[in-house]
Amino acid sequence: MNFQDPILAGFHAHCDRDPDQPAIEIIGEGGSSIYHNRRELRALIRDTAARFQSQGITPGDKVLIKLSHGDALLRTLLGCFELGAIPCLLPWRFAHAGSPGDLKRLDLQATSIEAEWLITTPAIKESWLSIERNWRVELRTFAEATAKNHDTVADFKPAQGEATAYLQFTSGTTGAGRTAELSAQAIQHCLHRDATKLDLGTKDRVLNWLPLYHDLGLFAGLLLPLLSGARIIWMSPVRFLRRPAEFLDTIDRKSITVTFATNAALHQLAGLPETDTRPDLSSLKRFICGGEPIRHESLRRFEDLFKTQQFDPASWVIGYGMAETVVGVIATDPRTGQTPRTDWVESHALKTNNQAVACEPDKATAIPIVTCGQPWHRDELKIIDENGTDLAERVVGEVCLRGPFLFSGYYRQPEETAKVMRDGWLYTGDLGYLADGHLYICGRRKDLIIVGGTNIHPEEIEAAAQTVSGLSPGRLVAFGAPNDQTGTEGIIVVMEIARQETLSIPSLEAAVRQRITEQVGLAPQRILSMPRGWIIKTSSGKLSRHKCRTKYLNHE
Amino acid sequence: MSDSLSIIPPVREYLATRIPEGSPLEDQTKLVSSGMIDSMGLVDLTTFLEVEFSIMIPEESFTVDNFDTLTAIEALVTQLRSAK
Repeated sequence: MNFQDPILAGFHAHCDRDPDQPAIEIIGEGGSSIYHNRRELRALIRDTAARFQSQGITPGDKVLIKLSHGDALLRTLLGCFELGAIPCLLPWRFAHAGSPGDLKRLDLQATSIEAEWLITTPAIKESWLSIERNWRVELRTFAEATAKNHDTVADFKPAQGEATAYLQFTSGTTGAGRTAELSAQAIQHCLHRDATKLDLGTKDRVLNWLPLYHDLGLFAGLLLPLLSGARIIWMSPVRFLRRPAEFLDTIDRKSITVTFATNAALHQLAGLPETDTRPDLSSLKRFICGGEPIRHESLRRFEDLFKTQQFDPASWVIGYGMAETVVGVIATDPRTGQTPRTDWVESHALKTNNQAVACEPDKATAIPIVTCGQPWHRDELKIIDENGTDLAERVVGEVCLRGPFLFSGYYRQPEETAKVMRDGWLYTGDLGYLADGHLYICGRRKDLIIVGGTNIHPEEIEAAAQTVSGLSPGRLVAFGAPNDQTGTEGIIVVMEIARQETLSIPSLEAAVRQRITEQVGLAPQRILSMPRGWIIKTSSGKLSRHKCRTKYLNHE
Repeated sequence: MSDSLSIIPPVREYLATRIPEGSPLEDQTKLVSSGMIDSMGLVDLTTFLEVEFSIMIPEESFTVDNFDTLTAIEALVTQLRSAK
C-alpha cells in the first residue's frame, strides 16, 4: 500500500488482477439495476475522463457536480478523479434541487471555490441560465460534457500526495459555507485505515444508500469498497427514505456484509411495522453509523426489533468525524467482537460540573452516551479546557484531533482555517470526554445544528429569516433541539414580537418559515413568537444561542 | 364524481394534522416551498398518495412544482392514474 498513489490506484490494481469480478450494481428507479464489472467500470471511467478532456476540462480544474443518484453522477465523479480534475459534489436536497434558493446557493458556492466547470441536469441548466448570476462558469449537462468532441490523446494526471483531490463543502456562517480541501494522501490514509479496521475485502458486499455529497456516503460507501475490491450495491437516498423495508430486504437478498445509517435512519428502520421487518440480517458484519450523534435508545430499539432476524449487535461500528477529517476519524473497532459501549453518567454532574460521573443505568438521573471508539494507531486525540490544558479522563472539554487524516485548509479562507487549526491540531468545537481511552461526545461548543447528517450553522438560518421585513435585527434566534419523532435534531426559531409589528403573528411566522426553506433548503421544525426580552444575550450583546436553547428545552 | 372531488379532500384531510397549527390549506396554498411540509413530510405524503390512489410515483417526479399545492398534487395523481 502506498499513500502517495492516486485515489483510484487500489481499484485499478483489483481490476488488473481480476477484471471480471462485479464492481457495482446501481439500483435505479422501479428497482431495476445496472451492473458493471471492474473492466466495464474502468472502461467507463476512462472514457468519461477522455471525453471531459476533449471538452476542455484539464487536470487541476475545479468541477462542481450537481446531479442526483445514478450512472451520470458516478461517471462524472470517478471520471474527474481519473483525469485529475478536482470534483466537488453539491447537495441534492430532496425536492429542493433547482429551486431559486438552491440556485442562489449554487452561485455562491461556485464563486467561493472559483469553479471552472459545472456539470448538471438539463432542468437545472435551464433554470441556471434564467437567473442573475455572479460567477461565470463553463456549464455542461452530463450529455454535453461527454459528447464526442474530437479525439485527444488521453493525458490524465490524477491527484497524488499533497495535491488537492477533492473539495468538500461544509456548513459555514454564510450561505456559501466553507470548502475543505482534501489532499490525495489524506484521503488515502483514511481509506487504508478503514479498510484494515473494517477488515474489508473482495468478498464483501457493501450496500450504500447515503448521498455521495455526504462524506460517509462518498468515502466509506463508494471509494472504500472500490479500493478494497468489494462489490458495491448503490441505491438512492430517496429510495431508502421512501422504502426503508426494501433496504432491509436488499440486505437479505444480496447477502450484504456492510451498510450504513445515520441516527435518523436507524430511527426510521426501528419504526417499521412488524410485517416489514422479517428479512434475515445474518450476513451483516458491519453496520456503520455516523453523520450525527448516535443514540443509545436508537441502537437498542433496532436490536430489539431485529434480534429474531439474526442481527448481531457486535456488527455496530460507531464513528465520529467531520469534513475536516475526510470521514469518521475516531471509530469503534468491530474486530473486537464487542458491542460498542454505552457509558451511563449522572446528568447533573455532566451539565453543571463538566464531570462524567459513572453511575448505574437504573438511576433516575442516569443518561446514556454511546462511545465513538478510539483513535487509530498514531492518529492523535486530546480533550482540553478553555485554556488549552489537557484534561483528565471523565472531564468534559473540547475535542482536538491531529494526524495525517486532516484537511489542508478551507479553500482560499486562511482566516477561517486559522480559527480551527492551531499547531497542527484541529479544534473541533465538539465537547466530549475520555473514559478508558474511549471517546464520548456529549455536546457542542459551537452552535452547529445537525439534521439527519446535514450540518447547518444557525447564523445562516437567522440571516435568511431576517430578510423578512417587519423583523427587527437581533430579535430572532435559531438553534437545534432533539426531535424524538425523527431521532435527529429539528431547527427551532424563536422571534421576539413587538406590539407594533406590521404583519400578524401567523403571517410573520409563515413568511419566516418560507424564507428559511427557500434559502437554506430545510424547513424549520418549529417557529415560536415570544414577547420582548425572551432572547438571552451575552454581556457584549451577542446572541447566546446555547442559553436560549436551554431555556427553550426547560419550557421557560 | 369529478377528480377534484375525489382527490383533493382526502389529501387535505391527511395534511390538516401534519402542517403547523393555524396554517391555511387552500387549493393554491404553497406547501413545500413555504416549508409547511419538510422533506420527511413530503416522503410520507408520497407514500400516502401511492397507497390512497394505488399509483406509483417515480423519483423523477419529485420536484417542488409537483407537490407544492393541492391543485398540483391533484394534477400529478390524475396524470399517474391515467398513465397506468
